[in-house]
Amino acid sequence: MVLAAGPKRTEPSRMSRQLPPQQKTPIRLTDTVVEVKSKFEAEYRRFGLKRNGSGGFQEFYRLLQTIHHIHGVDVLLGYADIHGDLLPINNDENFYKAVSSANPLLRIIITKREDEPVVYGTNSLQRRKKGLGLTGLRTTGSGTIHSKSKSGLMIGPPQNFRQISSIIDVDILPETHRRVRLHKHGTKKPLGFYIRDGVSVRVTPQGVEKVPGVFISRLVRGGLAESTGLLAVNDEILEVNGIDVAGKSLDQVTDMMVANSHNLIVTVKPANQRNNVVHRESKNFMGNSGSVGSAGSTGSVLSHESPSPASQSNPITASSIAEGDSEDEDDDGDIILENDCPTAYNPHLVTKRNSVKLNGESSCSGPHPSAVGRPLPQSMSLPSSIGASLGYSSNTMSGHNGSLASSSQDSMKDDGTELTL
Amino acid sequence: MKRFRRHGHESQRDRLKQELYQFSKTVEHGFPHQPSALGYSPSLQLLAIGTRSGAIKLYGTPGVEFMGLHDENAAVTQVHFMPHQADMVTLLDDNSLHMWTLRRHKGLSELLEIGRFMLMGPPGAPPSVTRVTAVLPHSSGELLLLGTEGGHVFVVEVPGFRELEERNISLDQVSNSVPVDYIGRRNLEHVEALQENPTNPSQVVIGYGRGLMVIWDLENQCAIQHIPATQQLESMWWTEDGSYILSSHSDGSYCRWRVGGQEETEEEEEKEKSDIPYGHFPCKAITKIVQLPTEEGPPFLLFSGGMPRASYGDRHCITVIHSKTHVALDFTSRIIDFFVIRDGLEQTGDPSVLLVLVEEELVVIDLQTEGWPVIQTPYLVPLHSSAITCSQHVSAIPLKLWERIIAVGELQKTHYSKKPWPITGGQNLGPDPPQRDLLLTGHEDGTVRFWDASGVCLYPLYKLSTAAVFHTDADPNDNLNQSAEGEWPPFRKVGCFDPYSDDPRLGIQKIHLCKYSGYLTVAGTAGQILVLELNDEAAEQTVEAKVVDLLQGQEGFRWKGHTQLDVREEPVLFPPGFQPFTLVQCQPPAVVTALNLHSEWKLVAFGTSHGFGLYDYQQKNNVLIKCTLNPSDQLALEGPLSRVKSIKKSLRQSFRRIRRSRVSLRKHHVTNSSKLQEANARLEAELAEMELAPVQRKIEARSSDDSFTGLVRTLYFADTFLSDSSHNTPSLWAGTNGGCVFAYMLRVPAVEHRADEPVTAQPAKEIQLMHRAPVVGVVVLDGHGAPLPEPLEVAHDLARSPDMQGSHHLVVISEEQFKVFTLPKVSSKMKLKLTAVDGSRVRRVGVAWFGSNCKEDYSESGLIFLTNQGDVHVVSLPHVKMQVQYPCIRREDVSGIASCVFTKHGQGFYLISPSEFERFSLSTRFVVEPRCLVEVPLHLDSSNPHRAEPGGATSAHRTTQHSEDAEVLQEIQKSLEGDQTSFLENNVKHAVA
Repeated sequence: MVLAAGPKRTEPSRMSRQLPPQQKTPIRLTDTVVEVKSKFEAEYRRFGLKRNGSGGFQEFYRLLQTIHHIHGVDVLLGYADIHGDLLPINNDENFYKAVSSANPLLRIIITKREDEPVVYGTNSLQRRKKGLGLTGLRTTGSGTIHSKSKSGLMIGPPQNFRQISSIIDVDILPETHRRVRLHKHGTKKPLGFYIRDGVSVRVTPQGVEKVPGVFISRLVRGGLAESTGLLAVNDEILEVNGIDVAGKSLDQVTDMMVANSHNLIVTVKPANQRNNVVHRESKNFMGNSGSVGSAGSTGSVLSHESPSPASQSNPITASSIAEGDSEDEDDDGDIILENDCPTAYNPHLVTKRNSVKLNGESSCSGPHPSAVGRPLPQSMSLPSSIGASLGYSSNTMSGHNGSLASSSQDSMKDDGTELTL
Repeated sequence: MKRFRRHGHESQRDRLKQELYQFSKTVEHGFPHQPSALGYSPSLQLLAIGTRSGAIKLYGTPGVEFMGLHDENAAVTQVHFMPHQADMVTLLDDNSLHMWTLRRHKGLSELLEIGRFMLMGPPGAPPSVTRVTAVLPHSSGELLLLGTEGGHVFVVEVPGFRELEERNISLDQVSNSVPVDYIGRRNLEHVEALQENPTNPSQVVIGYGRGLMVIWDLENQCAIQHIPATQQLESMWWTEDGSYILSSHSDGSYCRWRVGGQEETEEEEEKEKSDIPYGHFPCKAITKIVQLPTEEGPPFLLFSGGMPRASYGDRHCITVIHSKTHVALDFTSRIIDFFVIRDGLEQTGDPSVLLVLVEEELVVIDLQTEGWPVIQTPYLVPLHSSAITCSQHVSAIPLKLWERIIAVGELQKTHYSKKPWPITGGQNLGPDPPQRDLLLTGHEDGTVRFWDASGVCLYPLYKLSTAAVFHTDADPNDNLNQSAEGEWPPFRKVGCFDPYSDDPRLGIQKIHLCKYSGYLTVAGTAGQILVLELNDEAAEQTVEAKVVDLLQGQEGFRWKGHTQLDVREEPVLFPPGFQPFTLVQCQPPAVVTALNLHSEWKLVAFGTSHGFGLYDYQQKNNVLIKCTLNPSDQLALEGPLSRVKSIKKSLRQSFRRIRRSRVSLRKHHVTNSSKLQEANARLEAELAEMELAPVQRKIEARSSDDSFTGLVRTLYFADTFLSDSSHNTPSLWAGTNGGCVFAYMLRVPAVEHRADEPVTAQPAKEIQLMHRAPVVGVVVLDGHGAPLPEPLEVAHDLARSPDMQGSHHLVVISEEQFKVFTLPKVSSKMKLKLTAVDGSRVRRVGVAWFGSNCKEDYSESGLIFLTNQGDVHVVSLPHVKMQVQYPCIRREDVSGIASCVFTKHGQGFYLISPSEFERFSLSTRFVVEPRCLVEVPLHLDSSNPHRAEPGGATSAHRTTQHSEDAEVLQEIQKSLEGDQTSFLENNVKHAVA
């Protein structure tokens, strides 16, 4: 099943010879040939591929370009595995995996790289077929799946995936705390959690002290908070975007979170302390604080606490703030529509026209067809995904409204209004 | 180097802040909430009111006001001034006694608590033994007689509160002397009343609950006379000549008893009579009775209560009988107490004024003018005669408009007495107000009241009613209550408190007055917008309604809220004052949520939860209608008020029922029942809180699908640069609940063509804030960074014309942050986040001007705002930097926060109760607070010749001996204070002794 690396050099010529594009002869007689059905836009191609004799990914890529006559077009390859999942082909390894898993047909889907990002993952093929391609997101451990094909393995943040959450500032927080960042941008997904008042226990030199605290009371199924897996019911909220919530009412904390909802950073003390990130100095830290079973404490609400978060300064690092500002600063989020007036206001002109009685009315309504009574397009607001898609669609949007309508789901009537960002 | 400079700059700014801002709560306007006790000092000419929350307020001549608060949060049940002194004793619900005094400090008087006292009974005695029910300050000014529930009378020396045990009058002493035939010597019950013989200070009469009255000789510690009344006693009055005692009883009767010996003649025996004034059928108690002589002619008899229980048991009446005149004054709420002011320097002449404190207002009646008209009170005016629904403050009213408003207001006050205000104690030393300020309050019954808010007294100037424009289903029963000929009892309604609105749709929601042109626009609950003009003459005119459909063809909406008001189609006669000439009716008739008037351009902008419109009130047509509704917002469509209204309506009905059936409780039980009520109310509030406050809060970003995103929160006119930076044009700005700002460019024809050329509006800009928080304010700053002046302000030379050279800026104030944009191209320049940082939200915002208290010529503009946490902040302009922050209102006090209104000079008002405004100031330059001085007048005993009688004199002497030390101390103190008068007074006393 797995091809050896050796015969790679000789493959390309053989492969192209062996696989005439429109060949319909049954090839499944032999186990050595894989039937391939590749699709690019609306076109299908069927061809055979030698199971153990074929070359690597690069050759296969070029072969498909040739077959579909799309030389010079940057494309992404994907295949459907036995579970119906759409998985990428972008290196030798997953190419071999694809070939080997063909059962019996190997279905290849080719997409242009400029198009909307293809989402790979569980059930993604079905969803794609249903037109829900954008919603399925999955964080997979392997970064290689979506690394660039040409430059081989790429180290760095994934490009075709959008980050929805992260644990930050692990190095400066005590390991009993967790600072979670939720990226609300783009997704229609609700943040999806509720908070409540509760009682927290702090260990002070005077003894155990009960203080009011704010806790997560519920996670909405399918919400962002739940899907990250980083927040859980009964986690105590200590900070919102770096600001200590001690002494603040539930309503105040709610308002703070809503106000920061586009880039929410909550510092929690997880009710379940078993999955804590243990950083390098953890031993030191535990030794010094002598906290009561901080790492192994049970998931009770009234979990133990060594130093109060208020007394301890856990500043959000400069990097996280800078990141937040550059990505999510709401300045960029404000949508401003400006009506570039067809005629600049010129009192002389208007009065002159009005002096001609017949034209009086038409002159008023003429240059300003939308002046009185005509409602502006109802949906001014761009979809909230705009923050995310801003990166690569801003140039199209500021161009003209036609492309704007296509890139955003809400339609925009051509009203002479211009969008500037 | 750089850092140092920066630091220097910072400290300079800090110093400047101290020069500009200073927070203080200065004065409370209006009528005290839940008054519970009344006191009056004839010598000081001061009036004192105690409240259920433990506050004590003193009022003298207008501008003279003092306020004190007991540390105990208990109701004040009695207030007594010590005769001829600046001291005052209060009794609280918790049985504690407090001594207050007016002390001079830096040329001004201050109200200070100087002592407190709790009566201690013998060990092991039940608490009722020392539970104080009656207080009598002795005319010597040195003794306090305290009657208790146990029937004892304790004698306490003041001001030190020293118990004089040997002088106590125990129940045993009294009952031993009671004749055997008096109802088998049963329990005499509590001490109901104590009175001193006006002609002999050594004699007091003790009235017991069962009805027995005992005249007691304080000198010889013995009973002089027993008056065996058989009915439950309510009150007593010793007539001025000392020869009769009047007693009133719980069955609605009063009796007159002859004082002194058995040797009365037949004729006198006859005078000892009993009467049930509203008799035949069972009557309610007469709770207080007063009889005062006149120089010539019959005396005045005044008593409260005594109404026939079945037919008029719910009336709150005081009956005044003088000669042939008999009037039952019918008050609007429960009577707390009353007193009569008499003519003459020593207040010994004819009765001149009756002053009645009822639960919701103070009523003053002129007894010397034919018809006994009411005197307009200069303070303590019930702000809530109909519930306040909104308010606007207008600073620096031009004199012309001020005089016209006063003139039309005077025409409404013709039924008031011409008599000057009778309470004249103290001197108002405050400076004259620097300017004329108006506070306008809109009320639930569709009225707008104009108040003079320039000084310490919030004085009513004029009342505008908008109800005449509409057909209302006024309660026809109200008219039947007017007194008919020959009705018995002869009722006369007095007072203005009337919380029952005929139609809640009349309620005023927004007010905007242009002080330069005299144009006023008011908007109400049912989507009605009236434009009014001040006219000095009465005029009959038809008000045409212009219907504005704010839905603009949006489909699928069914308004389930209230219907619009029916407009009278026939001409209506409007009295002099503000007369409506235009009515805009929004459709659907939802409550108007934003309103603005531009008198220079003659435009009115209005907004509801469905959209906003612009109306040209010169040509009387619509310029612009914009629907801001989100089609999926069902709540906004159905009329959120429908449900609230029905609850309100049913509440109102049940209140009416309660009011009808309410039985006035006996005096002593009132405190208990009120306590019970309070406890119940607390419990209910807690329950409601538990129900209302869900245990959890949802964390979700705002979206365009939220409810009421289309609700228009603010409207603003500006002459600024919208299209390019070389031409400024008129513009209209609207901010919505969904964080959206709409800007329209207006074309207003030149003045000579204003009447015939149309005004047009053209959409120019739209800003959707990403955080989608409600936009609560929009301000445009000129080239210098100063807010644009009000319309006509420049034309009247009252403001510097705005700088049109430099670039303008737009400040958008949302509940969560302040954001500055450039103009004409809208791009974000700077911002100040509020909610993201501390979790508070902007509730109220205003532009204010702050002057330095050090440098006369330095001033700057800022934004003053109140958060939902009850804090007031100042933010500088144009750099939106936080300057100062002060806690102002409790965050639980939602109605207080909602009622807050700011002035242009850094002051503000908010409701601390339905009937009281608290005034506060953030400015160092504009502070309105009482500054007054009360001096104890020279008192000569000449008024009371009997005092020189041997018995009385020795009594005075003895007490003097007893309190020698205290008095010496007092003397020293007083002479130190430079109070010559009291020094003299003491000398005179000594000389007499």
